[in-house]
Amino acid sequence: MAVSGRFVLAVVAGALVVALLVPSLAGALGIVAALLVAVVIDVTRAGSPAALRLERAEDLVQVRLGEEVATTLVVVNPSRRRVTGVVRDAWPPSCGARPDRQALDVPARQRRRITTTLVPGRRGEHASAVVTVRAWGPLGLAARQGSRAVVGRVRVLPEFASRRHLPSRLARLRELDGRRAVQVRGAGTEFDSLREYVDGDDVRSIDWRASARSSSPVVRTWRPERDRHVLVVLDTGRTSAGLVGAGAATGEDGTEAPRLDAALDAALLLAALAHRGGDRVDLLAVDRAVRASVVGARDPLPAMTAALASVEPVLVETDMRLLAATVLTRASRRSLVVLFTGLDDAAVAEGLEPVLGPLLRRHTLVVAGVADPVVASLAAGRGSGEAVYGAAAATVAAEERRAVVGRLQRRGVEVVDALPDELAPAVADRYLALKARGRL
Amino acid sequence: MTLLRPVRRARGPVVVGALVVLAAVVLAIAGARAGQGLLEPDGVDPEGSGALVTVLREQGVRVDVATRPEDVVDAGPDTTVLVAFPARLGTAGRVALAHAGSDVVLVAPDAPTLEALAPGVRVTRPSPDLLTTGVVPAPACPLPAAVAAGPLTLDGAVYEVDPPAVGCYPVDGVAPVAVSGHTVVVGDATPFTNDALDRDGNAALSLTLLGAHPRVLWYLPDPGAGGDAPLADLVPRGVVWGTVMLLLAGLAAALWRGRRLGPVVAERLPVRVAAAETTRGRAALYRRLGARGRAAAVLRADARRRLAARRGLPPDAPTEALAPDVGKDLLDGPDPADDAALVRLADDLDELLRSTP
Repeated sequence: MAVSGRFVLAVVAGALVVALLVPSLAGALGIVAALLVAVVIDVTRAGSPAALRLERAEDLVQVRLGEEVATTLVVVNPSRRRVTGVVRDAWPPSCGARPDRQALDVPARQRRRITTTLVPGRRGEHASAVVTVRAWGPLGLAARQGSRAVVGRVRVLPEFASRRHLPSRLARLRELDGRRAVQVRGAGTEFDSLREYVDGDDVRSIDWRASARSSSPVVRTWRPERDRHVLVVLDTGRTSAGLVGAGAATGEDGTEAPRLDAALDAALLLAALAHRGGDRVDLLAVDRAVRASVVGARDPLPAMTAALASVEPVLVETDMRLLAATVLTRASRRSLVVLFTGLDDAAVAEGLEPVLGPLLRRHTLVVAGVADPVVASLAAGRGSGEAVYGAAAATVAAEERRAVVGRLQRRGVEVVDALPDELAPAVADRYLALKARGRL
Repeated sequence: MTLLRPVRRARGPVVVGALVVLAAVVLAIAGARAGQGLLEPDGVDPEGSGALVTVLREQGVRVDVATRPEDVVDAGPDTTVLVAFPARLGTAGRVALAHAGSDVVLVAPDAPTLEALAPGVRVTRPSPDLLTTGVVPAPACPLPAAVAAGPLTLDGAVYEVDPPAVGCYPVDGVAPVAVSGHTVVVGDATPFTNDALDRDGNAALSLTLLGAHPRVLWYLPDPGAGGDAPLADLVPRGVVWGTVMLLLAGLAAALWRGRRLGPVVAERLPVRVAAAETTRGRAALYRRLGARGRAAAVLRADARRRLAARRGLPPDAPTEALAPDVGKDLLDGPDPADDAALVRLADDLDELLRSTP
């Protein structure tokens, strides 16, 4: 039940009538009674929201963060009375549903489609709230209103902004593939084919045995190893929750994002690249429990995108033993393990370093950390006491980070420490470099 | 700090509220102070009548103050009623005075009061040359008070008098004092005030007028006490019922605007913590503690590291090798004495790094 602005106007008109024509209790009661009768008639003649059948055209819609998607609600009116009014398909605020409310006019025994556009502002899987229908009576004074849950979901996939880096890295990969003769020798590179020597080839790659059978020198060509295993591990613990980015410095919203988002972006670029490079890519997201896992997907990118859609930072300390144990069970043969985690001194000293041994014995380990541009800008602060103290504090933080990176590198870990925007290409480049060196 | 914030935000309204209360208290105290204004029976300022009342009481005359018609209606013939502001009387006051049977002194009355209590006396315009004649008129009437007062100049209202009423101190046919039956009309309040009581014959006039009976009722009509009808009866019924209906319309408007189209949708939002929070916290601690030595050491160590990297030396290389041109003060000197020195040190280190290729 709801009343309209028209009803308020009617009461005001009634007030004028009472004041000017029938200034008495009886007159007032009479007008009120007349208005109430009109409202009752209107409500009883209004179409019934409860009689409507509401269905969603699709149970689950997928959309990449920052893009928009339409979701359709089908309103079926099986009753014999027309339903005219307003409908609101409510979604959580961060889904950015619009329009907020729409006009509804369903004649008897017909159906209408109501389309709501979602522009989600947050990654994850979100469920719709209730659908509310308000059906006005013929006089437009009062309405019947009802709400019902019509379950619909939207899966908001990571933005994957680093897609733009993919073409250039794929070109590098092809370059790597077609290299005449890989400069490095040793384990990991695979024999590809023999071909005639051309000027510029490394003389060390001449295959003398084949050259003896031929009239001209023949070189062996190598190709980078294929069918290697890349395991991407995301630490979703508290260190991944910190907001980094330009916005965190000024306090304005929108431009900053958790560290996890940058890591996720880099993980997706790495997965796309490694998949094209002929490697098998698996994914693991761990804090105190395994949050997401992709194993043996034929095309890892869509699988990982979907799996990571609803991964959120959790404010707990990551269980690095669990992480290491899971990695060791998942990657039975030698693999490239890329771990996205925080490079905080205490967290690394107490969490990661004790479990490094078994990991490094079996695998090549890359640890990628997201640096904070705010710390960099603080370190450059000059001109006032406050700024210089900030610079000192930021320098201490940077020094600690450098110490952590140094410790990890001394134990044989490949470390990538980059700003959020630069992490994805940096990790991709490190992968290409390792592949070129045959260290996968 | 966080706890104090609401208090601080409410400071403005609280101050305003306190000022309003203070003003109200001051006004109430000031209003309660006795004896302010024209013809106040216990007034001590020039316009009051405290002197006259005191003299009357010393002469054995009882002086009572009245504000309501009920106080006056049974005054009786042994009483003189002085009406200070007859214009405020209202119908009830005039009726009460007419029924009282007392002698009445009206000070500068308005036309309706004259009509009711002093028939034959009418307010009129003073003649234009009245003020220029300079003649002090004689009483010229049998009123004992006027006779006792002798010649007198009165400013204020003047009256035309038709017999049997009598006018005193007439000038050009109009009189400032008139007698009509039991009622004496005085066009001017001056003879009764503290300021003017000792001038000319004012004391004789006022004391004789009011001292004729053992009791004086000093009547200060309260305009609010005029009618018995409550305010609600005076409002037109159309307005009353129209207002009731408008209140209902307000209720309807509240229902109209207050009804939501479905419930509010709640959402669990992720935690938002800036990653640089600890760094900022450490900076604030340095600053609060004035840790200039620590800050300088950190900045110097960082500069050493960079210089060493540029020159291809180990980080613990001696200062002479790192920056031979600059004195030891910059890289090894004492802690800066104040924040300004720290800022200068940071700038100098930057300059050193810039000048080193």
